Amino acid sequence: MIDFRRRPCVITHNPRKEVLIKTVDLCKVYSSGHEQFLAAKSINLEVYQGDFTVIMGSSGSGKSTLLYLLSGLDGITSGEVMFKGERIDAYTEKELTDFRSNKIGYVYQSINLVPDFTLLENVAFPGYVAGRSKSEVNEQALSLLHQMGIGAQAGRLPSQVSGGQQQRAAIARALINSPEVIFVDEPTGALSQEQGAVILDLLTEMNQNNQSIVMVTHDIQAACRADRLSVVKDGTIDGILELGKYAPDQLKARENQIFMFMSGEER
Amino acid sequence: MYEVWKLCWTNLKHKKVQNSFIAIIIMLAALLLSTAVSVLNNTNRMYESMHDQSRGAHQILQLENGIHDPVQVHTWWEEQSGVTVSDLMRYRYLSSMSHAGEEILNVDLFMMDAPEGPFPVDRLQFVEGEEQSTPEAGTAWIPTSLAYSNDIHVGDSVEFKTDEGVIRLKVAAVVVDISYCSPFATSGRIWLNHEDYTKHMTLLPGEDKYMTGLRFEDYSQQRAYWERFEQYLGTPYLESVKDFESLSSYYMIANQVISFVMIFLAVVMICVALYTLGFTIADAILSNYRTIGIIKSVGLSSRKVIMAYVAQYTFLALVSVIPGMLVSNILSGTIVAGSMAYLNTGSSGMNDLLSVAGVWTSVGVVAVIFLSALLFANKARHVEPAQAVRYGMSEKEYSHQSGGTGTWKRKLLQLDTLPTSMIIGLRSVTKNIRGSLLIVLISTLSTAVLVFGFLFVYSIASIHGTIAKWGYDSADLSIRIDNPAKMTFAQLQEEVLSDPRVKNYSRYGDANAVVPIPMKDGAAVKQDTMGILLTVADGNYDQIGYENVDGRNPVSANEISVGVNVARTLGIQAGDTMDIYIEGVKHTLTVTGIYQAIANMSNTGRITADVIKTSNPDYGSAMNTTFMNLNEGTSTDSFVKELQERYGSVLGIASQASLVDEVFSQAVKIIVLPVSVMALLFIVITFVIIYSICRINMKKESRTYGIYKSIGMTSRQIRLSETTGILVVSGIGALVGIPLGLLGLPPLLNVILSDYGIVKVPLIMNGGGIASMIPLSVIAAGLGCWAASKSIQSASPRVLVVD
Ligand SMILES: Nc1ncnc2c1ncn2[C@@H]1O[C@H](COP(=O)(O)OP(=O)(O)OP(=O)(O)O)[C@@H](O)[C@H]1O
Ligand SMILES: [Mg+2]
Repeated sequence: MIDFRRRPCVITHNPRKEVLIKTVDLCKVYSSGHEQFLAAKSINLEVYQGDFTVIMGSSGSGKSTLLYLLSGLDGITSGEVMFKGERIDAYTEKELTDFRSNKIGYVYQSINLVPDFTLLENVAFPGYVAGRSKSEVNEQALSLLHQMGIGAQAGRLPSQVSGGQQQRAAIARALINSPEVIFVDEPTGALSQEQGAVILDLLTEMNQNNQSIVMVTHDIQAACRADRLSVVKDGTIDGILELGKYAPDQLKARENQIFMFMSGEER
Repeated sequence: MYEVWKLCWTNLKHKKVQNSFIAIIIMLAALLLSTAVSVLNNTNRMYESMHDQSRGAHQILQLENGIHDPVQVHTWWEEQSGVTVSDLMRYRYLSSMSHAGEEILNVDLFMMDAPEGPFPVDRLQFVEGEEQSTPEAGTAWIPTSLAYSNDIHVGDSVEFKTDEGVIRLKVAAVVVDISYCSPFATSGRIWLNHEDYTKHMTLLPGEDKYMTGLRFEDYSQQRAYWERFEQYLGTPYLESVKDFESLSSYYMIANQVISFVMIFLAVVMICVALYTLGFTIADAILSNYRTIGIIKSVGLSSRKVIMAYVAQYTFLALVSVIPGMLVSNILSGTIVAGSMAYLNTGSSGMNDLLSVAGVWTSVGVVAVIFLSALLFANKARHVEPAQAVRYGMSEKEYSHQSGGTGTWKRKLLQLDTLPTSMIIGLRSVTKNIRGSLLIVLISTLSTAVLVFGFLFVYSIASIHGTIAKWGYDSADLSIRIDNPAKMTFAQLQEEVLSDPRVKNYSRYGDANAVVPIPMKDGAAVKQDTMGILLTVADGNYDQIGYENVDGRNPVSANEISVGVNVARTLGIQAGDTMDIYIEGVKHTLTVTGIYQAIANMSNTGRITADVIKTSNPDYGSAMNTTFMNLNEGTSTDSFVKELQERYGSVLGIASQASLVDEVFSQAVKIIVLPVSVMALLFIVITFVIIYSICRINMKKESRTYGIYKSIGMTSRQIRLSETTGILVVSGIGALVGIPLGLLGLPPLLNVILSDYGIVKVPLIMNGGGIASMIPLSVIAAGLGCWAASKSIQSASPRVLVVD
């Protein structure tokens, strides 16, 4: 039976790897009207370089919130967020924009391509923002789109392609500036089983090429791709599972392992 | 930088409706403003360049009463350095001229004994005919003001009736005579050969009069000269002087009125444009809130996002200001050419391709748009990526919206009494308060402009009805004795004035007078003076229909009424007394009334003949005009015709209506074009703004329309209900616009015209006409909405909902 008793938070430092992102007592309060809602409660978490980190949790548990905070897309209420030892929560607007432009890529839960840009323009745009040469960026954007299997749709507007194709374009966009880490929020949520698998394979392949990835999901199948799994519950880290590198033949075993972990039997 | 350009260009490309809407408004505002500025500027420039080119006079001394010795006066001025003086020119007055058998109405002619040309002051510019040093015997040079309006050309013959008969001369040249060529002027100088002058003019009864023009190197120094001059004379100068201001004023009046009204409206329009711009940018930012969030999350700084918006609107401004400027050049050229036609020598640069002032104005417009775009786009600074992506708006607004507001609106629209379509229409109106306010505003303005424009043009066009309020008499007709040898006033009285159809009559003449201006502080050593023209009546001012803005007409030998500008200069009111020198004799008169008159900028006065007769019992013989009213039921036109047939050679007879027409048809011609253009612009603006607001709203609401459609409403029903809502809103605007147009804008005219002697512009309320202006802007609004809702028609519910 699934045990939802609250467990003390565990920080397992792994000396083999370099710490990419680290949070200390990170809190986030949402206020709507007169109500206040504590969506992240004193979170202490480490994300390692080269890892495929997965954040799991049920709907409304605070996964997206955490991802926004880790990526510097939203302001924190208290605590610290460090990227390679630098406090990004203390960044000035200029430092923050540089950070967003060069260090990270973000794939939203709701995809969010610019509706008036073609897929190619959407993918290339962060490259322009980073001040890179136009032709180089365009070339790379096109090759990324091909890599994602949507090169043929490069000239279309987002409204003219399918949800899965949009999702792939969004990932390509996140990759254009070769960021140190990409954040992916629920990439398979709106997709069919097969489409979801394609995306996950893409991400896995990227990770094997040493791309750090932080992915949010509530889908166990997706979570199987993780090197390391953090479970979020009610705005806190409820547990961390080290899995090691994924290989396709381990899928079933991992699924079981994660299921057990989630049910609290392995901890 | 490429990313900013990319963003800006995508916005330009994908938001065509919004962008063209802003562009049109900016264009029209630039058009109005730069037209107004160019008209003002070019009028001044053209006048000044002509004035310089002709070495135009700053002052013209007219020595008519033999008070000062003309030669002595002329010699003194000639000896001054820094003053160029014309020859001392002899002249006589005539008030009758005919061309091709047609009498030219309402003229005061100076018959000049032309000196050797070219003249040192007021050099004539020959437009037609060969330039010569003096007209040949049997010929005359006539000014453009007379030639153009009566279609007189070189080679035509013109006739002048005098006491001694008729002089017939051939026109040898048409000339620009800068000091006597202005529009609305009834006087002009006819240049005669010396022999002709001696032969025809010196025979006439009365003495020669003398005129000399003064041109100062530095006009601002003229007071000092005058002080010395009067010291030299030992008395104040008691004859008349026309100065630069009055010589130039009628060149400026029409264009000044038009330009000031235009500038005012242009400023209003620019405010509307800015408000609209703010509205549109705010809307663009709101509807793109999520996109801005995404763009920021990939690392674009706020500064650059703002830059993209500013670039977009500045680009739009630049693009739209150019056609505005070009059209304004044509328009202002037409307006200036129309009103300055008498100065056109055919060679001067009337239609410069680009007016510098217009260009600067346009630059100003672009700058204003740039700054406001900067201001409004600043909103984008506060877009936080995560919040924007999550809510599509800022967290603050989000929490604001999730708290319940706007219940009164809901209540209002729940009234079961209103038909469904009305409720749907009004729902979108109340939902979009900002847009609706803009619609009310623009309907108000365009209604006000239309109503006011109509009021203005109609009042000028039917000026007969208010002619007394412009300072003229309102008699039915006037009779002038051209040939006293053949008909004396006594004969006139016996033969004509005793006709049973004549109700009443008065005799009129005029006289020049000089008024000392009392110095302030009472510490006056030297006195300033002003010359004014007096109307002198032997009879009854009231009967002939002269009016005052304050007080009453003079009736006795110690009374006077004065024009508003005289009263203002002297600081007097009805009931005060004033000193005045008439024909060199000092009188102390009680001011009975103050009136406004466009003629001579209200630098005039009215007295009874009794005043002058106290010192000059013979004055009566100089009064050659008689104004009369006819009994009811008598046709003025047929009476005039009858008299003309019987007395054509000895009397000048004209109905008042035709005299008024002569002067004011010109005014109507000049103002109708610009006023119609302004009215049209405002109608277009109304249509464009409402069209665009509706398009923006409908895009936002397309999902709702899709739902309406999917539950079985027809497109027509939806469009009708939207249009009904807009009609209601713009109807409210129109209702507010009427009083604004009738009461709010006329004071503007009063301010402009008060320098010209009209402190309260007499406007004629024509209910029918005004009422017909009201629906125009409402109709434009309705059409705008109807056209904008066309997209609803074609779209299927799926497209609408998915969009
Ligand atoms: N503006 C807000 N005001 C109040 N509470 C909010 C606000 N935004 C989010 N929340 C709450 O914060 C919690 C975490 O939200 P978050 O979006 O991070 O959940 P999630 O784990 O990503 O859910 P899902 O799997 O459905 O995407 C939720 O309970 C949500 O209701
Ligand atoms: Mg989420």
